[in-house]
Amino acid sequence: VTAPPPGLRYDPPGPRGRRRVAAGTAVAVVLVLVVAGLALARLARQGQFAWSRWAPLLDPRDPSFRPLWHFLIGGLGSTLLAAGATIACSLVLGTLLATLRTVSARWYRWAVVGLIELLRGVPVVIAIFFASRVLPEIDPALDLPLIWYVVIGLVVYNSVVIAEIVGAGLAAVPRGQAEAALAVGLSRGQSLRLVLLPQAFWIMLPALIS
Amino acid sequence: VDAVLDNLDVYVSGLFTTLRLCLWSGAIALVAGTVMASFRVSPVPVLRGVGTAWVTTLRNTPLTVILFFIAFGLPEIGLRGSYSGFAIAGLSLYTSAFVCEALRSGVNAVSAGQVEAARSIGLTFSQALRHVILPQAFRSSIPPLVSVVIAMIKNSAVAGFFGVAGDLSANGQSLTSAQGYAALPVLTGVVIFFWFLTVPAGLLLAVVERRVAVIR
Repeated sequence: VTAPPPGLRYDPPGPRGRRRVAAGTAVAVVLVLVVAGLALARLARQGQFAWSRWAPLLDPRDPSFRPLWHFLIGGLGSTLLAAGATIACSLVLGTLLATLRTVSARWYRWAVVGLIELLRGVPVVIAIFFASRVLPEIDPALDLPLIWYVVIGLVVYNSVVIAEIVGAGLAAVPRGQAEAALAVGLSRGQSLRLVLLPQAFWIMLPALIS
Repeated sequence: VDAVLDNLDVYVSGLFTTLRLCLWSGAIALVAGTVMASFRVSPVPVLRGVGTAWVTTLRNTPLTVILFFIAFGLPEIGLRGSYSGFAIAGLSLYTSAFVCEALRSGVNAVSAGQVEAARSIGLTFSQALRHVILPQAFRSSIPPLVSVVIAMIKNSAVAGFFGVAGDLSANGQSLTSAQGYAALPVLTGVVIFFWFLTVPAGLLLAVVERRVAVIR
């Protein structure tokens, strides 16, 4: 069943409908403008738009301009670093978990599944907080720069999310592919690595990106 | 372990604060998300624009930043309230965008024949939406909606770091920082109490998915 094109859900409005829509739009626009105007007036009365408040962000001659932008760009760099490290580590770990889940013997599959399910239920903030508090308590050598706690917390959470996604992708590869790979003499590991995982990643690319 | 057992009442009250936060935010987000989803499929271009803008803005803003704006921005323009009120507002705004998208995918899954049949017996768009499209859309979007709710429960942990007194994450923080308990047992306790909320939701999801799979 394909989604109906939006036009199927209604007829294009006729002259009367168009007039109603236009009138309603006008009223709504006026209402929104009034509310926005009130809010802006209130902000202006409190001096929120005073140039002195915005100058550090917008005026290159302001003494705070340089340090502020330096700070912001530094933040962007740290965010990119944390994101990059997290993406790399959790892709590897998540793929590992997903394959473990498919190839594991029954007696320990429940352990892998349980681990995935439990870690999925941990809030990310708590994972990060956990890493930053517990790791230094275990061993002073683990007193890392703060950003690595962020990375560790994010990796713990995202690797199980990615494991779920890759697992769903593996399940979506047609059965015949796995059978054909085994039939031409590939081992299970080879068939996963050479045949199934590449196709699973391709199928799951939209979900991985989001 | 003593740290958890001695403070069991702190955890339980934290659980209920988190639960209250989530029930309010979930209810508001469901309503707002449904309204926005019907805006996004409506025949009126302006409403479609509003829905799209709503979803795009909220989905692409980190929850932390939304909470920041609400908790520290609203008081600046004179809107004062409790931090839990701000947290509920932030969480439900953020979640409503995801509810809207889940529902919209459900609306798109309603087969074209249903919509055409509704139109051909003379239902107007809003009647068709209310009596034909949305009931079916709700059913097929239950699995994504439950995932959205689980994500929301976990996102609510952020609220504790924004001055909401007494939810699970705030209590865990105060037990480790202010009262000096060891972090490992206290935070493990926090995680376990979050599981009390998320694991049943996950199990519910599994049951519902099986039901829906049978119906199709």
